[in-house]
Amino acid sequence: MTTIIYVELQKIFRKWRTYIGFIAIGVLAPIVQIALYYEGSGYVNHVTRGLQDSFFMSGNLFNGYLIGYIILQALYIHIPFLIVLVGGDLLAGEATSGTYRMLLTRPVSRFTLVTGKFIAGAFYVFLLLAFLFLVSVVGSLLIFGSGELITIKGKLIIFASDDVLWRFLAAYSYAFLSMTTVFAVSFFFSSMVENAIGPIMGTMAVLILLLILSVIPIDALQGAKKFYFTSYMGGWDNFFTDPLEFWNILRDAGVLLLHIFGLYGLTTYIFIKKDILS
Amino acid sequence: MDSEKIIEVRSLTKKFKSLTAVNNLDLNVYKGDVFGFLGPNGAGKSTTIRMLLSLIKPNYGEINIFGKPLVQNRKDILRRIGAIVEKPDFYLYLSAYKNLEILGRISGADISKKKIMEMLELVGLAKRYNSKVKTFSHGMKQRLGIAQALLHDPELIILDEPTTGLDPQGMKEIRDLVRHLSIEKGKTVFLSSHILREVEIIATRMIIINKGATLVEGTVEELLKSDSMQVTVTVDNIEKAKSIIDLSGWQNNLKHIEKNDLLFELPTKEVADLNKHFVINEIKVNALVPVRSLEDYFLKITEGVNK
Amino acid sequence: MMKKIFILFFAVTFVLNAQNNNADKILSEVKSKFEKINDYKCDVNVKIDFDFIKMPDTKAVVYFKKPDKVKMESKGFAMLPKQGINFSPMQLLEGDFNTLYIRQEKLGNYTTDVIKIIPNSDSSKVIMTTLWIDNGQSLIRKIETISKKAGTIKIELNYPGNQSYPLPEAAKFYFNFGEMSMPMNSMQQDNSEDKTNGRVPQEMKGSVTITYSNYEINKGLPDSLFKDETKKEDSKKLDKKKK
Repeated sequence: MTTIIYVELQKIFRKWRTYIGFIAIGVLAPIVQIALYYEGSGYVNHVTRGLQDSFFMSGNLFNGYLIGYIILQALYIHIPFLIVLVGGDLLAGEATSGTYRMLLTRPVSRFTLVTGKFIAGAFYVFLLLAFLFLVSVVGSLLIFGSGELITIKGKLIIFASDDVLWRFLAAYSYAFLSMTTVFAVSFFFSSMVENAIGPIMGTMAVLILLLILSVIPIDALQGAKKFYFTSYMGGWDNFFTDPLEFWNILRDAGVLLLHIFGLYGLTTYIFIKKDILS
Repeated sequence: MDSEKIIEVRSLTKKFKSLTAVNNLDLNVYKGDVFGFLGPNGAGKSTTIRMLLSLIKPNYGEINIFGKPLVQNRKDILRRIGAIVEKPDFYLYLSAYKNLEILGRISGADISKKKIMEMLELVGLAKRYNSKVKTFSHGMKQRLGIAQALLHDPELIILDEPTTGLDPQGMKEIRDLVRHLSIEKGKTVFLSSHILREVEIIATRMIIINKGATLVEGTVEELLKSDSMQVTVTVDNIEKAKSIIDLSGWQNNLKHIEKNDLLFELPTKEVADLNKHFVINEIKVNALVPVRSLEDYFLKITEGVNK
Repeated sequence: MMKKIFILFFAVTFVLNAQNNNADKILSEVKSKFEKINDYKCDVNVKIDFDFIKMPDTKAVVYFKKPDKVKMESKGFAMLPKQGINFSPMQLLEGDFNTLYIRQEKLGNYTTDVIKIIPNSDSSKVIMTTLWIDNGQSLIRKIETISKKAGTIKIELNYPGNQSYPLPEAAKFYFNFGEMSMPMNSMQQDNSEDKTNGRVPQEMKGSVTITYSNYEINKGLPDSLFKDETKKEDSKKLDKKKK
């Protein structure tokens, strides 16, 4: 299995499309950092405006953690597209290039192959998020320094500076689950077709459709919201609440894990049963 | 002939919706054979090869390779097989060397850099080892396909149209390679090709299929037997010739009539008697042409079925 | 009859006047105590308890220099009510105002005089201030201020025993800002087309508890220490004028 994962990672990282995600993050995050460098204090003032008449404030709320949080909120919605670019190609790409024949006549089980591809793809998701963390949080801390983190969720929440890093790590871990779910959807679609465009567009269409359905103010649709996996994807933000709703987070993570394993299982079943005609 | 069966196929059947691509096919390949697998387009050759390599699952029938059922022993069996299925496709964004390295790794064999370069040398691609495959011509990809099939020193080599896209020199090299692998290395080669002349030269046994079913199976000599032959007799009066044959003992030997040509299959020693019979009955014989080549045999037998 | 009315009128006026004189005297005693403080520095520990804010307890160092220079320093973020540094009643007694002695009232173990201060000017930020002054020690035990912008603020002050300066060891502030607009979430942008401007009205009440320790009084703090704070205030005033 490790050989397959290693081989698949080699294949993933030798394709130019893999680097689109890293380049996008590498360009967008610094743009946001530069913009906030010049305009960021205005953001903090906007948030604390109501209190400034009655309170003295000292210390630096405008710091690397706040920047990292803003970047995560801003880019989070766009990361899925970068994920499906690779996920949608993992299986369909083999069909397009005709390499299924070469691959599946090797003495390796289809289960091992599809699992190896899945793990390699999930590792790509991990690396992409790790890169985002590095650029947005670590980079921002180096430029803007550390401090308390201020967030707004109906009320102002300020986290002590030694209470922030673990929240980011936990949030990114949850984000990894969310993005792996997106990856699993694209991987599933990829097993059914012979061209990567279909899974890429199909996954984005599913995401957009579910997101739209979840905001339409019709009772029936709102009631069905709990069945949309997209309703649980934003759960990373729950690590920035006080008190921490641990059981809700665990439940939401469990739903995502269910989707991941369910989609992986379905994909494996399809792949094992599939006749290779390409 | 060594009697060890390398491939044994029984009642193999594959249907795609309403189309029966392979219909109750039986075949046997023995150790050391260069086995020719022939049939017209759409006969079911690729489907059969894909089933042998477990790319497609049969609806019915059994496949045993190296004496073991394929379904239960897939990995062990595939470890001992090298194959090209239709045109070989590679990872275009990787070099020739990298492609072989990856495929070698997946095969689980300990393929050294030296071995990879040896294979590339064997197929004449050593100088282009570091070039991306997308820069290769069709013929170069074909040769790289042969290299990947031989990389892990398999016992059984399945080649589907291995000479497609090669120039005559390249074809000869493949032919010589196949002969070398079979005779000197003791490999078993399962060879599917449209270039019947190539098969006729190197195959020891063959099967001709059509519409998914076996037409004939045997050695080339058996199929092109010297004690019987096919002759095409060109006469001036076809109707009279037909009526004479119907009254003679050769009506069962008459295989095919086209215009003024009558195709007979009969013992070689009776060919002169047939000619004499026409002459005695005042039928002019304008030509008497023996049919001996595989291509002619192939065309005749498949056309006969298609009629 | 008229005579009786006049006697009653003068009697009430006399009493009122006497009481006012009393209020002024009490305030004057409190002021004189504060006048002994030129400057001080101390450590503060701030605990915020608002519905609309959640933050950890914070530590800071505060500086004060007469008449109204204040500064706060902290390692991390800290938030302190503006009334939590300058306890001098001087700021309440600026301009034209009336004082009114209300009554005596028991506040815990202390007997206090309740005095109201009402600014006469319409432009004053403060509408009315009520002080509970410990009449034995001339210490302000409690303040209640109603201001135009900040709503009602109540402050309860605790002092250590035997101290010569009217500086508390603890203060508890009760705020009720009424409804104040707060942004709905971190990413809300100011949008002039959106009437809510991405902000929702929130009921703003709660308390802030401050403990003071390690006072260093009259050590001669330099004006330069307060330069940044002065600049900040000037800049805020400028921003407000621009708006």
